[in-house]
Amino acid sequence: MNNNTIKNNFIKQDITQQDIPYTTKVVEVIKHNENFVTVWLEGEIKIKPGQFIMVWFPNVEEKPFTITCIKENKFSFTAMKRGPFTKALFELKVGDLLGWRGPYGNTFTIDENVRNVCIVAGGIGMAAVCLLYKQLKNDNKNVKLIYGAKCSDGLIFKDLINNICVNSDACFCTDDGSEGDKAFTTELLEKSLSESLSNEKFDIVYTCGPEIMMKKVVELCEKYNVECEVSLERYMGCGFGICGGCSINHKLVCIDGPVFNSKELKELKDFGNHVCKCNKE
Amino acid sequence: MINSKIFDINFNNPLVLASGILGVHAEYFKTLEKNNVGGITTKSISLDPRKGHKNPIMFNDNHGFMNAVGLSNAGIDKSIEMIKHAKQIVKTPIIASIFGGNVEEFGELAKLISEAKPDIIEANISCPNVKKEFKLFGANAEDAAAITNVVKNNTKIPVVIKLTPNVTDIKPIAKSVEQAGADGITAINTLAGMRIDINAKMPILTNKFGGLSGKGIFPVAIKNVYEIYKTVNIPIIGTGGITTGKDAIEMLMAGASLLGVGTAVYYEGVKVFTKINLEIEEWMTNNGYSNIKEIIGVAHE
Repeated sequence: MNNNTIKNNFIKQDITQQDIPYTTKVVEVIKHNENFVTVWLEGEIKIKPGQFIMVWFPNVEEKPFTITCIKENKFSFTAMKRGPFTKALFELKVGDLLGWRGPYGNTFTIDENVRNVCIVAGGIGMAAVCLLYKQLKNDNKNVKLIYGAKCSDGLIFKDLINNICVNSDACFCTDDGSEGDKAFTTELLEKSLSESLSNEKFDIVYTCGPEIMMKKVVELCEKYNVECEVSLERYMGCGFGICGGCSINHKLVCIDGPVFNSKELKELKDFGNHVCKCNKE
Repeated sequence: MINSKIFDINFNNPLVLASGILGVHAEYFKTLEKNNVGGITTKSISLDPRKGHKNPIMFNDNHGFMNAVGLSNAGIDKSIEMIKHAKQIVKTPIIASIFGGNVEEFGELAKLISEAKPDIIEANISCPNVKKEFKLFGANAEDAAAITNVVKNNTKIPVVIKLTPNVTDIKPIAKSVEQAGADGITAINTLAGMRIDINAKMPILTNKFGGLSGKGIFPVAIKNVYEIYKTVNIPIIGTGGITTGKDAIEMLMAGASLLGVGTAVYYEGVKVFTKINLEIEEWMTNNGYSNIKEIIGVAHE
């Protein structure tokens, strides 16, 4: 046993056993406003864009989250206030313990030959495409980001996006026009898709947000004959394909997804009918 | 070669999806059927819908797989619809797992679920994770017989009783359910267990206690099935840690007629059914067996 372990009264567990919660310390809690919070956890994580982890809040619950940012020996996830779990996140203090296991699920497809891509993010759905956006930028792709929310309070990833790329050409929009264009993300997407017909066409559109928005994104992509990948959300129990809680028709969101392409979605007739149970938890 | 007729039902192969794994949504049964499952057991069904325990409900590490889901299910009405739908879209035999809080509830569940025409009814009297709310009927011979009796009296569908290994001696319990008219026995349910996170200094599962399954309980399952086979003359669905074709053969030799597969789906995904079936066939070919029935209970000879 080394001195560090004794001093911290904290036992480093074997991180290779990823299907049991691995407890680690909260190193920072950022309350963006009363509805959104970002929690930074200590440690390394190897996760690909699209994948998620199960976060265990001892004595509260365990929920799936995507990772929004990775830095040296720490990483973050961001949550919107919905129920007891996300409310409890607002009460976290530096030094508190959370557990996590994973990563789980498939990844967004990043084809090295692809040049022009578009990301459409709605509200907290941006959390699922932050790492994707960063990687696409790192890979020097032409990325058009359309990021919208109900109002300016919901555009919490704006700073992060500007951090990822100073000269970001991201399009921001809100339903009420309190920041960026007064428009829906899908309206901006249609504009971009029609413009891209005469210009350089998008090779793929990635999207995450309310399911009704993603359904519309898929329809638009079909109309303009552009490939599309969506990241779905369902209530999750195990995260590794056993409990059956996250099934959508004959697929499981946790292991067959969470990323599905337009072709797969055609067979999932329940796609588009899911409404998140906000504040009903 | 691996097909058989048990309870007068044709099984393409002996591998039955164990209760509690993926048996929730009818449409997913199509995925299971495509992957050569021999039978599908639903998640256990109660009269009223149940939310079950809060997460964490499952985890795994090198000590084994733990769960305490808390018998979450949609309740009898929705489950009847689910099974009816499943019967329309898959040909695989369906085993409806039921559980109640008392003898009367088991009777009512058996009567109601029969309307959905499942191929078999499995009475789960052995869940280790709901002790605060439900008596563990599988813990003694009298209770186990009473449940068997009432379920049998309320249905014409074959009835199997799922037994718990968390008892001093499983033999008198197996005998009593046979005498009460059970058509078969499923054994074993999970072993009671617990894990504590040493940093959080608290149990990991919300329910504190859970059921242990997976590779580690295979020897326990073999021993229990072997003892039950010695005690009764009704077919056994041998369940507990089966992951490979060799495990399957061993369980057949211990005396099982059908084989429950659960946690192996966690280890290898739904393709595990095809893999185990192929391995069983390969072993049979190499060892001169042409009918799976020839293997059942040979370890007793």
